[in-house]
Amino acid sequence: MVPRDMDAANQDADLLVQFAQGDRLAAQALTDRLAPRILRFAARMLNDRTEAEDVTQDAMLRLWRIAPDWQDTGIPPAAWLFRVAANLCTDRLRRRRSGPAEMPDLPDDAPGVDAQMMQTRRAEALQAALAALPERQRQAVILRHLEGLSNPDIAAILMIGVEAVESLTARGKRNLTALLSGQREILGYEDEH
Amino acid sequence: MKMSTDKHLKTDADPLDAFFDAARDQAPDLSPDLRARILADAAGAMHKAASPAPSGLAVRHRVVDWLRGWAAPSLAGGITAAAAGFWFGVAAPLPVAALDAPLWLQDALFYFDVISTPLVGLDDPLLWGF
Repeated sequence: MVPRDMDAANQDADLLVQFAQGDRLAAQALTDRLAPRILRFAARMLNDRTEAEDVTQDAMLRLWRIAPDWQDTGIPPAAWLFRVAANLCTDRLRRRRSGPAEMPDLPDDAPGVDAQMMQTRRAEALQAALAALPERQRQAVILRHLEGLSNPDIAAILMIGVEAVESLTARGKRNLTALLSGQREILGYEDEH
Repeated sequence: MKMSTDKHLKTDADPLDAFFDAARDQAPDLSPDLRARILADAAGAMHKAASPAPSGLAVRHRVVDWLRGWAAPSLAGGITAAAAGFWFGVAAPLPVAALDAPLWLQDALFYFDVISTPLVGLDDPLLWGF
């Protein structure tokens, strides 16, 4: 039940059936509904746009291939797709770990930036901090706080219990707060005088 | 230290919310190129799934190929083996004792029975569960 309501989940499943029956418009609709979410998730997991696009294309290809055999097993297409994307990201991160470790590059705490620049700097700072989180915490935080999924949805995607999801997101947020604590300017804090 | 008046922050809000809001604002979009690649994959998968089912003639050819390939030779081999077994059974019956055990084993059992058994006080090695 990844979509915010069952209607969205049912629509995705219906579109998948229509695609399996040869409906090209269903493929377009599914792409527009699901691919942007997978791309966002993969980009945040991998911190690399090109790799995120590859993961998105690969995950969608697997969806197309499974469409003729799709069965309602209780997990909607969106959740299935997030699970595939998470596994693909894990594979890529594992390959990366065999190389030299990369430290996150947090932006400098520079004062005097305008609102738009501040938003950009916040997004960059968060991305850098996310990259420093353990993988499972990163997955949970992204799905919960950036994709807006419910804890039961995330539990279905990560194949863990709801309590484990709550624990992962709580620890992830604590770590993010610690990592970003030095970013007072872009946090929006000002020194008292 | 006090909270700023930034519109993304409230005094009672989680400071991380401002970062989450900013990240959502600047999320990557699906590029037309990637969308086209995904739809090309979809078309390819659809074409593959919609490939025509084998016609009746093709099915007959497959059956003939299957028979020529391995089914017929296997069947012929099975019939030959059965006929040979039947022939050996009818034409050259042997005493059952001759098939009971190899000669060297019969010799070994003989020596065990004649020489070893009296030493240990047993009449029959089969009593040991052999």
